Amino acid sequence: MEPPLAETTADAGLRPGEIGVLARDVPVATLFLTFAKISARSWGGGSGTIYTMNQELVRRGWITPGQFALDFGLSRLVPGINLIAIAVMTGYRLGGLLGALAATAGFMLPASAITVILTIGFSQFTTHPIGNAAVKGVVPVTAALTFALAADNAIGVLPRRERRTMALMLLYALAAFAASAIVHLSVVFVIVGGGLVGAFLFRPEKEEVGP
Amino acid sequence: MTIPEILLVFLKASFLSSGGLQALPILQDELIVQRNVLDYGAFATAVAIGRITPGPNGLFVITIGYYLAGLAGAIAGIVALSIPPFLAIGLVHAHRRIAHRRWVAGLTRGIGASSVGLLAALGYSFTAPLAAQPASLVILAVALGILLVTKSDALPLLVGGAAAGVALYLIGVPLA
Repeated sequence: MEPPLAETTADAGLRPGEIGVLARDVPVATLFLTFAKISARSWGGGSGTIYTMNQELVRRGWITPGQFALDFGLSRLVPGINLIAIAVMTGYRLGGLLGALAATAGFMLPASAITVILTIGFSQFTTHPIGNAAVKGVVPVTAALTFALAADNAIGVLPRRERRTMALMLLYALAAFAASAIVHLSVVFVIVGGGLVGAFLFRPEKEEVGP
Repeated sequence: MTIPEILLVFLKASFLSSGGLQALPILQDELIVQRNVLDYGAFATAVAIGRITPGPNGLFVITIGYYLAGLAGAIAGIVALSIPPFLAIGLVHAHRRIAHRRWVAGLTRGIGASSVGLLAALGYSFTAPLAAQPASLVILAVALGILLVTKSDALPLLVGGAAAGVALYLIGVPLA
């Protein structure tokens, strides 16, 4: 599958580090197939999936990494599984309501089918020591994928030309890490807090067009 | 349990949780404590399967559905997981309408910065249980190095991790 060129540029003149949607009116079938491919290829219970989604959507020229970071944050404010919410939002931004349905269906189908097959075969697999050893080797890779995505999103979100704002945002990201990893504060507080702090302290210096 | 009952329990868990694993305590209360239709062993297996499967996180609900009512229960799980995320469309509209204002651009950046910290925290939560196992940390470091330098796909690294786990087991250094 060749990545289709963005036919209409939704936010013209975006540089890679900025937040925005680059394509519009992506065909429903393309959305379905792209999300089905992400769904079938990203093993590891979700972390590999976030990484693969970001990589695939950015590589196709559909969104910027900054947009992905924003959608990831917004998705955590929606009930249910946030990765599905990212598929809904991306599908909706690129292809309207039908696009959202196609992206979600594509995203759910292969993974759900594989889950059912695994459920049927699982007891045989993990009671076997080799299967068990394979599962344990996957866990550290899953952690690495999550850290790599955090680094990629940091590059996508931080405004390099606004030094003071960049330093403040980095500080907030560190605080968010501590609040979630150490204090176990609810992610909703962290995200809403980030939005509130950002509305006052992270404003762009010049007038800028958002997504 | 009938399929509509299963669907309702799953929808409740899906609407009242965010991010996948939060549905777990709700389902545990409904299915183990209240109705006594599953045991903790089944839940543990479901979560383990959910950590391997491709696609979105939280697919352990599909496995639980399968344990409750076979394929129809699994489909109830798929349906229940797919509905609540559509509320995100409202959020996209609300955000788009006001996105051009400077304070909203700042708010957007704040949400992005939160995401960076939350993702790192997620990585940390996967890493902390591995701390006692140097071999696991080596796999993590090698995988992270490859990812940062080459922007590799996830799949070859996941296969590599599984292969490393098997190899270590065969030479007598099993991962914890």
